[in-house]
Amino acid sequence: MRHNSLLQRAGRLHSLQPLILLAIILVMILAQSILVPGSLTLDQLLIISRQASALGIIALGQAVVILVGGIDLSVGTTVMMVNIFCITGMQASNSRVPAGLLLCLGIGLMIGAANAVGVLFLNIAPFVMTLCTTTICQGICYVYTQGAPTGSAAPFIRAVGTGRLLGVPYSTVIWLGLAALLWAVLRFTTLGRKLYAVGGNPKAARLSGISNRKLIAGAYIFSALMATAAGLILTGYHNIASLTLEGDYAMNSLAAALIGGNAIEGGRGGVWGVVLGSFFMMLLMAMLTMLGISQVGKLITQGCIILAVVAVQQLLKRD
Amino acid sequence: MEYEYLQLLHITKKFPGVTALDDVSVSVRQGEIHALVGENGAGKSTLMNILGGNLQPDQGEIRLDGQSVRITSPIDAFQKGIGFVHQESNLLENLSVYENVFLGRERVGALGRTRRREMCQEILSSSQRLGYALEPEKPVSELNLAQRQSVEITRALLGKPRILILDEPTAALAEDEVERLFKIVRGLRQEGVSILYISHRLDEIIELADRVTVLKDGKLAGVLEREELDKDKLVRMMVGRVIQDIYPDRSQVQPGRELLKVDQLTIPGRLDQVSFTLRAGEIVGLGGLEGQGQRTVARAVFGDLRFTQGQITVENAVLKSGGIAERIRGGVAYVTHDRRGEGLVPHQSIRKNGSLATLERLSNSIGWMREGRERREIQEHMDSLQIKASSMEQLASHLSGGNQQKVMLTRWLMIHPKVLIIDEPTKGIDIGARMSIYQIIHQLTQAGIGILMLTSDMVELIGLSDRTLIFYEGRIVRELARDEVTEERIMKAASGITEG
Amino acid sequence: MKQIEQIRRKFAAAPQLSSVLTICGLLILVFLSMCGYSESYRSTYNITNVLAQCAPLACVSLGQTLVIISGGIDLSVGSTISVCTAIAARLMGGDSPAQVALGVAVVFLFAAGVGLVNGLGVNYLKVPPMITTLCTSTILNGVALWILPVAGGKINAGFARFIYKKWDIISMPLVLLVLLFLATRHLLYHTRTGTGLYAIGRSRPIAQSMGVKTRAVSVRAYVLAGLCAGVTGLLLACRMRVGDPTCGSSYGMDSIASAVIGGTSLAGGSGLLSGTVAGAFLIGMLSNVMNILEINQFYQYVMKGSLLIAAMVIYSISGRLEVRRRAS
Repeated sequence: MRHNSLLQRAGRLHSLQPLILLAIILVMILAQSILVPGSLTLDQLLIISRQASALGIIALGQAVVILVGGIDLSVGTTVMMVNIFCITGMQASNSRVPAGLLLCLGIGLMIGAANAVGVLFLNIAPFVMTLCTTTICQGICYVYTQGAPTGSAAPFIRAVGTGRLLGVPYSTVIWLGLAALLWAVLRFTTLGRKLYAVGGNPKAARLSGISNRKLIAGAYIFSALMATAAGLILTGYHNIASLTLEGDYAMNSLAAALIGGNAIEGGRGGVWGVVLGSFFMMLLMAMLTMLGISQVGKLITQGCIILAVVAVQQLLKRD
Repeated sequence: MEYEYLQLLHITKKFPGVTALDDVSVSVRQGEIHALVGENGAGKSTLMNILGGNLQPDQGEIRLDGQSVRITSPIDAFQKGIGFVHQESNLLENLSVYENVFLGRERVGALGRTRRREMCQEILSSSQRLGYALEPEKPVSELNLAQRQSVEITRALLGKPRILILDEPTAALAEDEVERLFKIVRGLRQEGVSILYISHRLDEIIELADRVTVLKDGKLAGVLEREELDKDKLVRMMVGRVIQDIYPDRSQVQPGRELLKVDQLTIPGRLDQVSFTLRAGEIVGLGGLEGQGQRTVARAVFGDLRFTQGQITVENAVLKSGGIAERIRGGVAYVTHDRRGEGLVPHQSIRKNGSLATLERLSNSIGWMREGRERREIQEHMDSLQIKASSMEQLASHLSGGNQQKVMLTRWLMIHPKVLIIDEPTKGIDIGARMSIYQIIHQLTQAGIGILMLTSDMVELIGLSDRTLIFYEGRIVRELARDEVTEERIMKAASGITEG
Repeated sequence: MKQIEQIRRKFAAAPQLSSVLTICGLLILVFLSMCGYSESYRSTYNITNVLAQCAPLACVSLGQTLVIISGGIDLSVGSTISVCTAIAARLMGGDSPAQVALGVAVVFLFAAGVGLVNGLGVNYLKVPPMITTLCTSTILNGVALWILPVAGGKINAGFARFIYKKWDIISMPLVLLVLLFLATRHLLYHTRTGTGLYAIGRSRPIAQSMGVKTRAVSVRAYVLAGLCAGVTGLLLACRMRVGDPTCGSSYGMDSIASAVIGGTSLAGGSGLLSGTVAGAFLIGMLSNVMNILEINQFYQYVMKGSLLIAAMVIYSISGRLEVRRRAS
């Protein structure tokens, strides 16, 4: 009996992860407002939330891919590619926005579909396949721009990236809206049930008549589309075409999803944990910047945090 | 009194919800063939895992040569002179025979260089002594099951064991291979090795064993000397009650209309023109040695395997090749033999596991789950199947084997099946739960469901099936009705021997 | 006759062997057609250069192969290489041999240390190999920037010349590669550790039950991968004569590609070192050819990614055919 309750407690701890994360975020905010008095205002938080929204949207896609037992390392490059083609496609003019949007949508679909085909039909390990698409897309971007991209975003895209709705940035609204939608799907629909089953035990799902391939393919395409949306928002926000925009989105989205309580082997996790995870990552980066810690420190912190979180998850999992 | 080399004293082992072994003592004399018998779930495998170092007993003592020992790991067992030949092949297919035999204790020379030639030579000489031919450099992936077993035996004997455990060694062997194995085992006895022999097959045990220890429901049921051995006596001790008490009485069953018809089903290399029918309210048992095509048929009927020729008809509707979802809609259900591997989603609740195959029925047109209805239906099944759990939100991984199996049954009963395929219905399930599962199966047939049962447990096959189909090399070689089925006939047919 | 039978057996035992031969054939084909195409390509000078240029990738790929055979993966080798060049550039600029020796020692110690951290993370913290090495990779990227914010520093010129010494067609990097190849070959095919690597790559639980010290063996694979990355780091540093905190970034992917093209299965448990070397040379030569043909260097990204996908597709198809052949 004791054994049982211990197990259950460990399981509960796992689902408590988002709450623990929320507590940590609150402590961080508190610490900052004590350390640097007056630095923390509501506006400041909203700005951080805007910075976090791109990462947050990508992390939603990443979370779904992880949920079905995969991994998507190509999200960063998708952002970059969308950024470059969005700017050249729209030529800074609002009249060409629909065509540009279609182009970006096509790019996202292509990348997602390529990943899905590689993983499902060519039986290539997810991270290798997505690494391959990353490399290929990078090559395409470099060749296309000759290494020196130029141009700026269309006013409409700029508005999306920088505008505010009742004081709240549009991008934050989009992020939270998408999160709420995804939450409803995962929590209340057959699609959500199937996604969890496929991640938790793909063979069992298959023997229950669930079409694993469609769901996994859908997850990769969803992830690529989320990256596309994030790419558009970032383009609007930064207003430049850049070959370094991909940043560390692959790593950071992975970190956000894992910190938020998603299990790397799939089948477990929720949406709000991921939302908090993204916010946490951005808050951390913002605080590191504020404390004058450079890129070096950020990279090291990022690596250590993911390693620690997954290690703790694995420790808890051991019976 | 001969010297008792190995003594297991008052061993107790508990798992969550189940006492697998309760104060069991077994002693093995030097140079004897000691058989260990018991039904599924009697505690044999737990005892062997304790002896083999995979599990630690909660209480009790193991004595080797009079010394109290603790066996901490498989390697430790090996070093203490306990050799283990597993039921399921425990070899690495990507390595060659000699690498498998010597893995973990390679002969090495200067600079850590392994001495391949010396190892191969050693294998050749030891295999010749035992009377079989092994090619040491051949990859294990190219060996058949009998040859793989020889590799395992060679490996076990390499450590010059004083005790050799053979766990269901004949489950996958044909009769001539069984004969050869017996010769080896007897030869080893001559050399003073004690053999602990585990088997379901009582005829074999009566032929081979010097003494028999019988386990029942995790307790010691008794020890018989060679001269006392008698099949009926063994069965009584194993079962502890008359067979009729365990298995529902099905002598009065009248099968109804034809539900499933399999006609000339062929998958090249695996199935050869298999034909049979299943009627409403009938239990048809598929038996035979392991891997002779029983599971292949079941999977083909369930739409998991494509077949090139033949036809499967459910209630006069011809099913196309492939497509599990389509089969489920057609009323075919399949309870897998591997609950953990491909049955349950371990981190999800009973409720979510139970409704996994019926999501479409439990949701509205846009895919929104009707959770109230889901809860109600799951609760009904939990009550009628008597699933013991704190609530329907308990995680499947926290349930005992019997309750897990009932969750699997829940999932499949939710689709209102016409044909229910049950693969190893009581594997890893203790006796109490087993009886209740037999009762459930019986009740289902009374409700008009046709049941196709696959089992490697001969007693179960005989006790439950209305008709038994014996497979050999992808064909049905014998069909036995309830009144003509015997263990001997099954064994003969399963080894490919045709009777007049 | 006996020899033929032996060869036949060897093929049967390792189906990858035929793929190695295919790649070698491809290599020769590329080489000969380039020789026909370009005068300058035929020169001894160029051939020596091409061989020397391929050596660094081949070295790191050998280590990667060991890890992949053991059922893991090491995405951190690229960053390890970067850090190694940075360390070398910081420490090996002086003229005294002692300083150079110190630099070499520190580089190898560091590389082994990274491997050890990876191995411990994978085996004791139970973090999946991909995540562990991705994390160490990120951390090492930071470390590289910390040691050397931009490309710079200096490598002792004498040492660098020694490492790139050439005799006709043979060059020092090639000699080092052959030595490293022989050492890893001995380890993989003729020691207990080697058998253990194949064993844990196939199935850890079975290997463990058969007495393989799975953790120790696996940790060794990661340490060796680290050391191989260290060799590559030194070779690159000596070639550039400076350190570069980002120079290794493509090597993680490329080393995996070499191994996979050479027939190593990402599922673990099978693979050949000679295949890996052939794979590395194929990638190296194709890059070189693209340079000579003056194709935009960015196409190399596309080439490598496509090559890796193609290799995996071909192996997965031939694997399926093999299974089907055995079944019937």
